[in-house]
Amino acid sequence: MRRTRRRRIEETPTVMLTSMTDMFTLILVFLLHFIDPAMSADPTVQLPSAATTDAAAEGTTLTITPDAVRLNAKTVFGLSGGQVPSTVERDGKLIVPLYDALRAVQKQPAGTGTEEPLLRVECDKSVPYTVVSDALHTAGSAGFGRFQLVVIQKE
Amino acid sequence: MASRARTPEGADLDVVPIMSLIMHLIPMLLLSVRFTYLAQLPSGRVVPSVPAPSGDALAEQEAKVVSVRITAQGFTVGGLGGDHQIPCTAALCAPDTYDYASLTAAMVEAKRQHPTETRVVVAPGRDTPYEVVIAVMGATRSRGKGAFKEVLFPNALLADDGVAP
Repeated sequence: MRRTRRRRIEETPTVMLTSMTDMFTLILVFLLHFIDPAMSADPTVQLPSAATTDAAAEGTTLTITPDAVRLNAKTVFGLSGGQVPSTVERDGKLIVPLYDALRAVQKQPAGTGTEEPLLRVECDKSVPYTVVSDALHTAGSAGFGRFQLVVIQKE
Repeated sequence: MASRARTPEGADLDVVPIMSLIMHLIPMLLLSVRFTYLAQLPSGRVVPSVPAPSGDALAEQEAKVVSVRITAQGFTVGGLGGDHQIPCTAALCAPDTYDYASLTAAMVEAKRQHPTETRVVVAPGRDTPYEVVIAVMGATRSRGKGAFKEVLFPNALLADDGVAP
């Protein structure tokens, strides 16, 4: 029998990374496809779902969680037990700190045009309607006439 | 003058720095990605009060306003020629026991009676979870899917809380 002689590898082997780079580039492009500022919501909010195909748009965002009310990710006041605490200044249904914050946003030059300003509302599904109603009433008083209730699109 | 080193023919590109960059980008992107599509339901101003679907002025009011009250017992639909009660499918009303299918059927009948109307007034109770409000807006908005989709009342107006008991 003839013995095959194994050649000794003397050089350091190199790993071919080109195909792996291709794969990672494809993954990167795939992930970038899902990044859209208008498509991301506050991760602490459990949004309700609805069968609608109207795409959510960017804009001034009012976020209502079971613990707090935020305007453009900045906490305006906290909620206790899912209700507006008695320490928060009110004028009937109007919530004064939220009104002031909304008015401050309205004064910023971002919202141009003649049509009524739009408020994007991201609200946790467990929040009682009385909080939502008071917040929307306040937003209406602050000049926001149209509301965009953000939901998770249901099949 | 410095002599330029000649690249040997057939040499691989040094892709290690690019790989390193991509390997850092991928976890960062994975953290910020949510594989859910967000949509929106448009809503108009909060209406301060809703005409009661019962009482002396019923005949006059119901010809103009299609309304849905959300109560602890179920739905009360106005605008169908009288109070139309839709109880929950269980003794205790919860977000998943409200009868949304029957509500949509009632909206189809309301649309037949008010073919040009696109607005519906939704009047939730004070403690109604927001999830139920959205589900009601969805149920009154349209019926069916795709080519079989029938638009009912796409413009929902939310009433002040406390209108419904």
